Amino acid sequence: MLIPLHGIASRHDLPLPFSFVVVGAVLALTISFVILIFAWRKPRFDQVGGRPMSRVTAVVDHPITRLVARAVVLAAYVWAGLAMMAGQDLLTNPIFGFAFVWMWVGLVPISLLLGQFWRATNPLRTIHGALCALARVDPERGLLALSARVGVWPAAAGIFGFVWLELVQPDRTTLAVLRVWALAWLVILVLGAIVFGQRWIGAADPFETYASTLAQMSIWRRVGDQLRLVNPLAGLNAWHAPPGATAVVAALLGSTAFDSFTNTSWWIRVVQDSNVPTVLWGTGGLLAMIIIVFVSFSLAAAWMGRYGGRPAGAYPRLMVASLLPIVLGYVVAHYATLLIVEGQRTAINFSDPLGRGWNVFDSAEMGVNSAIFAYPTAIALVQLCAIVGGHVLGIVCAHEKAVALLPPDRALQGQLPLLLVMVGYTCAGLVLLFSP
Amino acid sequence: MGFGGADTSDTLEGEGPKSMLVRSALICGTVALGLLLSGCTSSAQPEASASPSAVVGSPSQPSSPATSPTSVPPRSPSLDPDYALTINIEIVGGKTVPNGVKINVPVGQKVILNVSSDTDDEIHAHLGEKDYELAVRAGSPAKGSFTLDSPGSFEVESHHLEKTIVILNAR
Repeated sequence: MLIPLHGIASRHDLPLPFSFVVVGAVLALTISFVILIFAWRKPRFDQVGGRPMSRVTAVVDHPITRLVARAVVLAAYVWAGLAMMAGQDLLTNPIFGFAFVWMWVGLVPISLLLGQFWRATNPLRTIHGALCALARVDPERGLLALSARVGVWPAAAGIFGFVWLELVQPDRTTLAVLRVWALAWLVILVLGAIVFGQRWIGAADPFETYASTLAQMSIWRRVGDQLRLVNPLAGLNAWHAPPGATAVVAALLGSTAFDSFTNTSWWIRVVQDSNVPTVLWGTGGLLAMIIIVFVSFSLAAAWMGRYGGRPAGAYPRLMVASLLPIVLGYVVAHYATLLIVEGQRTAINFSDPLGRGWNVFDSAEMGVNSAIFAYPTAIALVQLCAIVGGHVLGIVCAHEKAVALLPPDRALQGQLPLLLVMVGYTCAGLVLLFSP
Repeated sequence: MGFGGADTSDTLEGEGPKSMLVRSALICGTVALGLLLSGCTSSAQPEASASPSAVVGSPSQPSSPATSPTSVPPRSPSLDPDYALTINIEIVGGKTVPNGVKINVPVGQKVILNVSSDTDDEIHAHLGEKDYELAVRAGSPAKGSFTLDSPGSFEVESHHLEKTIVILNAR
């Protein structure tokens, strides 16, 4: 297999047909205003509700369940680490698919279906916990206290680092480059956890922060010490976003948009014609996309300060939950086929981490089933539904927040700029998938 | 990470007349926009169905390689295999012609690459399950071909320059 210039897949999704873009934009705009005008006027989700699941909680919280889950996940990482440190520097090395597909894309379905599974089995926490057990110290306590205002800002920087590696870093599909990044991740997170206590991992690990943020939309939510099966919208509404959450979400949305943007012939032509190094173009473009999302969302949310009783700067964090469905829609539209097809290839290669013809998990003989590509219209339809569906859920979530935060006669005016910004994100997402 | 309920302390009762005004204004706006945009939809429909059955690239004018025939059957399975898409590629002074051009092609299309380069290079076509590779020597034109067997978006790249030459959208 030859290493592609962009990403690890040798085949990409076809551009979204233009008619789909128009239909999607019309739907997004119309449904948004219908919701704005006709939807409820009083908060509906002020209770998480749902069904308490005491048996499930007992099983999930059982020490043996925890131990087994942690051990299995840690073993998978150790196996991938073996491939990275001792495997062949070829695209058949499973580490590339492990990092870019299984971890970065796979954490999305894992978090939606299993809630805070990532956080519960994060190998960084397992390693740090083991080190603390050896040293007989409390993993919660570090040498220094971490200010609550730090929130997840370090993780926002970490997510920028990962998406830079994924989308900009030259030679990202070589072992030498990946080793540097992986070791930096391990050292910064584990050393930081020793200095600041285990809380550092929740504040700084890009993967755990991404996963636990998306898990706010999961069907599972812990209320008190009980797991509940909940309406994801009600669960999401109950999320208290930590400081920096807006930057995390902007980095996720902006980087996905940038990934599409680099596939437009305009970008390819301009960058390849220019004498400025591609790395600078990529870094600038990626930063610009993230900043555009961050600033536009923050300003639109701050507008609510004119009508509500809080300072304007408080609203972006209160409203950021409403961007999560849009992030999810973007991610599904962009990476679903990647996860399905390259995820399989990674599973196949996972049996043979060192490239010696092993078949440890009996998967090496499986072929990649890429039949999904034979249905481009179905793929386009899924992309359209993901983008528009994410948008509609985002609008619903923003409306719920707005009627909860603003006086009833002001809720409409207050959320209008945010609604327009969200329509803008959705239309931009559709146009980028059309990929002119 | 976060538990508990949402902030609902700001909730008040009642709905003012101002809000009703805004509401009716918004209804009008929505309807108008909806009508406007659905007008766009119907005019944009023909574009989606216009998939060229076969396309011939013109070598030195990369800007118009994807000119689609005017009337095309929706999906023509009977492609003439001799009627291949020829892409002439020139690599001079670290630049490629075409430069990142997108070309629509039908599935089953045979693609011929005519490459001339002032440096040694490799042309890679990423075709999903099996990739295609064409070695090019400086100053001596190389020719190669492959067939697009299934739908998808496929990149043809200069390996040494790390540049995308064309993107083939096979439908």
